[in-house]
This record gives sequence, structure tokens and C-alpha cells, in this order.
Amino acid sequence: MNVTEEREELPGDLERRLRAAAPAPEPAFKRRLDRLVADGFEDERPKAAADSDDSDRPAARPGLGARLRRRLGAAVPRDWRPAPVLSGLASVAAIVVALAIVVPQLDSGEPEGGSAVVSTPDLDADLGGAAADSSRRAIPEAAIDRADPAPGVGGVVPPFGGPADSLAPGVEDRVIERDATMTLEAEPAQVSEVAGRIQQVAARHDVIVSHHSMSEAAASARAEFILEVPVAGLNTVLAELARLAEVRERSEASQDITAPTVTAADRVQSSRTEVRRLLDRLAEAETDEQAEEVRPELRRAQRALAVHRAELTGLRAGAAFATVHVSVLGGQTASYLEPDEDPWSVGDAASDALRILTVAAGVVLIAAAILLPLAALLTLFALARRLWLRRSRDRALRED
Amino acid sequence: MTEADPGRGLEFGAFESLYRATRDDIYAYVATLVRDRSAAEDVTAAAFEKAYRRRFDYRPDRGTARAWLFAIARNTALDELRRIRKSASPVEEPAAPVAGADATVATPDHETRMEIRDAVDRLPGPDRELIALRYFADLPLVEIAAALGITESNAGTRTHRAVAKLRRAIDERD
Repeated sequence: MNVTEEREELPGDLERRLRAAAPAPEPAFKRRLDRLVADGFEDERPKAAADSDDSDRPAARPGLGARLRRRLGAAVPRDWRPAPVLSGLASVAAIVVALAIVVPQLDSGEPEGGSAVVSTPDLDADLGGAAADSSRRAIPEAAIDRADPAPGVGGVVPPFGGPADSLAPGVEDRVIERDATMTLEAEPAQVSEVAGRIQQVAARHDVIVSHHSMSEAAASARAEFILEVPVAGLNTVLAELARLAEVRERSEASQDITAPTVTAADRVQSSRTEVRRLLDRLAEAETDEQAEEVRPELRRAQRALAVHRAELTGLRAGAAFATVHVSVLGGQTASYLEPDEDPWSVGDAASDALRILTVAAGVVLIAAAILLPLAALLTLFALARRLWLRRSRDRALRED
Repeated sequence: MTEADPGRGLEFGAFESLYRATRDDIYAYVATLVRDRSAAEDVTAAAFEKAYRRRFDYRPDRGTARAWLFAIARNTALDELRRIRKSASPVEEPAAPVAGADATVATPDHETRMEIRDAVDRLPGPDRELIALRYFADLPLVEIAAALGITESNAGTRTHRAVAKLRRAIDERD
């Protein structure tokens, strides 16, 4: 059935009368509505008609934009709509939350200056002293967790200063090898004076100066030291060195050498036991021939014992003394930089750029992870509400 | 008939033209739905205000501006129906126009209009709505379909049924 056929079902006279019966608005209402439209509905409360008796009908609530324009006047544009602004604010809030999550993670990277400053424990406590408790306190928990004493060792290595090949059963201890690096900066004319003071510090604290060099030029100077510092006084020595001039760089490192030390001690003990056994056999020999059979073995065992003692002594010395490299620089900083110590290169720039992009990508991902589920939930809610509203309206019309 | 800009939304001038062209039609449609003069005025004003505030959401590819406006008016009126009671006073006939050329037609035409209005008001809501859209607002079927969110074929079928019911109602009174 087409439109023309439908309209022909209604007689012309009836159609004319039907159209004439259409409700028409009152003139007063038309004037009021015309004024509202001309003013852009600035007065948001629709005024009741002058002769309306429906005074209890609640006035329509003005929109957000209209309420703001009423308060702020011309500052709010006529066509301003709050929805885009609110959406933008929600996005900004999500990005701020994402930054708050990502930024703290950035501190897990390298410290500034490229120096790996390791927080080492206070080893001023004498390893050779009553120090089982104090050295245990001084050792980082990470080092203790990594410890794996040699199996079968009844006790651990005694502190330095005791018999080289003695064992102290029942006392657990760690053997830590430490080293440090410090770069001091001073005026070129003061470099030699600073170097002299370093020598004085070394003399006061029984520090061994295993290497010393000095170079001077017209506008620059440089001094280098390699110090062997007793670990008991390492922190004190480092503190005194840091007061001699401005510290430009400082780093410390440590290595747990308990396991190799325990192994070396075990070898010493085994070698000593073997030497004693062979000496007893030699004493018991009744003939020269029997004695000649034992002597080669005894010599080999004694050589092995000497090698193992030297190894153990070296390990203990490494733990007893910390190696400290001290540089004193005077003059233009750039002229004293090693070729591979350029502070900022194209590679560094690329690394920084990659890091920034990684952070930005992380922020976007986290913001999306926050916004997308919210958007999905809001969409579902809006769809459900829309469906309910449509059905509710149709029901209201059917039941009217 | 005022149409929207080729892009999206209605500028203020285009909206005002749309308003001028549809004000009485919107009122006639809304008044037929709610059957209360005071409510019809409020709903008409509210519908135009909503349309004004959403004029930038209008999309020409989804239908004409008139259909878009009537959809807003429909939703506003049905929201009002959900709130007001069914005992709302019927829409009163405005004062008869003065100085009609044919004075002898005034009184019988007035009574005829009241009878037809009464017959329309007694129709079920969906049928009453279609009569108002087709004959009071003079919307073509394509715009009726767009305003109601149904197909044009469905709109034609429903309109045909509504007209048949109205004729039966009028014939029974006669």
C-alpha cells in the first residue's frame, strides 16, 4: 500500500475537518516562546502562562552551561557544552594517575653520574677482634643470603690477625673483599698540597701506598694514588680523604669471598694432616729404604701445603685490606676526562630519548587500562538506560 | 522547510527558522499526546529548549531536521506522560477566530472540531500519535518513521490502522 492510497481512505471533507481540529497554541504562549528562542533560552525556567492554573508544576532545571553563564556571564561562550570539557578532564585525570604509577618506577635506573654507589656496611669493627657479632651486624643481608659455606666445614675462617691456617669452630663469619674509588677536584696549584695530605692520612692510619703518581702542566695538575687500607678503618680513611677537597665522584664495591676462603682453609687443613701423617711414617721407618720411600711423598705434601697457605694468605689479605683508588684533578674538567668518559654523547641522547618514549608508552597504556574499562561500563550503562527509557516511554503511551 | 548546514549541527539562524516553521505543528502534536493545555505548553517549550541545546548534535545523514525535532518533542512528551496523571484536563479549544468570512460556519465547525478532537482523544496513545503526526503536523511517512524510529513501511501500516479506527469512531458517533 502506498502513501497515496492511504490518504485516499480518508474522505476529503473529513480530512479537512481533521486538520482544522488540530490544537493551536494560545497567543500569549506563542509570544513567550518566541522571546525565549530569541534570547537563546537564557532564562532557563520556563515561565507558566499568565492564566495558567498549574502553579505546582516544578520548573525545569537549567543545564550546566546555562547555570555557568548565569554566574560568569560573557566569560562562558553561548555555545559552550560541558560534555567535551568533562571528557577532557576525565582523560587528564587518567593520565595523571598513570604518571603517578609510572614515574616512581623510573628511580630504579642508574644513579646520576654513572657511578654505582653501593651502600656497604660499616666495617670499622676489627675483623680480628671479638667481632663475630659486630661483623655479622656489618654484613649486608644480601651478602648473607648469598653465602654458601663450603660443606663439611665445622667453623668458618677466623678474622685476620690469627694463625693463618687455624680454624675457629662454631663461629660463623663472612669474608668480604672491598674496594673504593674517589675523585677529588682542586685548584691546579693545590693538587700537590692535597697529595701531601693524602700521604699524611695514609701514615696516620697504617695505610699502604702501593702506587703514587703526579703530573703538572701550565694550567692543570693530576695526582693518582692506590691505597691499601685496613678494612677496620676504611670508612674513617674515606671520610678524611673526602674532607681534603671537593669530591666529584665516589663509589664503593664489595665482594663476598667467604666460599673460596673456606675452601682454601680446608685445603690447608688437609695438607697439614697429610704432612703430619707422612712425618709419623718417617719416624716409624726402621730402615733407610723405608725412609727413602716416605721422603718424596713428604716433600710433595709440604710443597702443596705451602701453596695452599699462600692462597689462603692472599685471600685473607684481600679481605683485610681494601683497595682505594684516589684521583686528584686540578684545572678544566674536560681536559682530564678519559676519552671514554664523555659526559653526554649521541648514544646517551638516544638512550634518553628511548627512555622518554618508553615512559610515554607506559603512561598511555596505563591511562588506556583505566579509561577503557570505564568507558565500556559507561557505554553498557548508557545502552541499558536507553533501552529501558524507550520501553518505559512506549508503555506510557500505550497505557494513556 | 529549513534544512541543516551540509556539515553537522544547526547554526542559530537555521534553528530559529526551523522553530518558526514547526512551532504550531509541534504544539499540536504534543497537545494531542498529553491532552492537557498547560502540560502541552511546558512540554513544547522544553522540547524546543532541548533541541536548541543539542542543535550541534543534529546529523543530516540521519534524517531531516523536522524529524529530529519531532523525535525530541516525542520523548519530552512521553516523559511528561510518565509523570502526570491520566485525569489531566483535556486541551481546551482556543477562542474562535474573529471575523471569519462565513459566520454561519463558525458554530457548526466549532462543534465538528470538538467532536473530531474528542474522537481523536479517545484513540489509544499510539494511534493518536500517528494521527497527530500525519494530519496535525503534516509530516510525510518518511519523517514519521524517522521520528518514531521505525521503518517507513511500518509507519504506513500503523497510520492506516489509526485512520481506520478514527473513521470508525467518528462513524459511531454519527
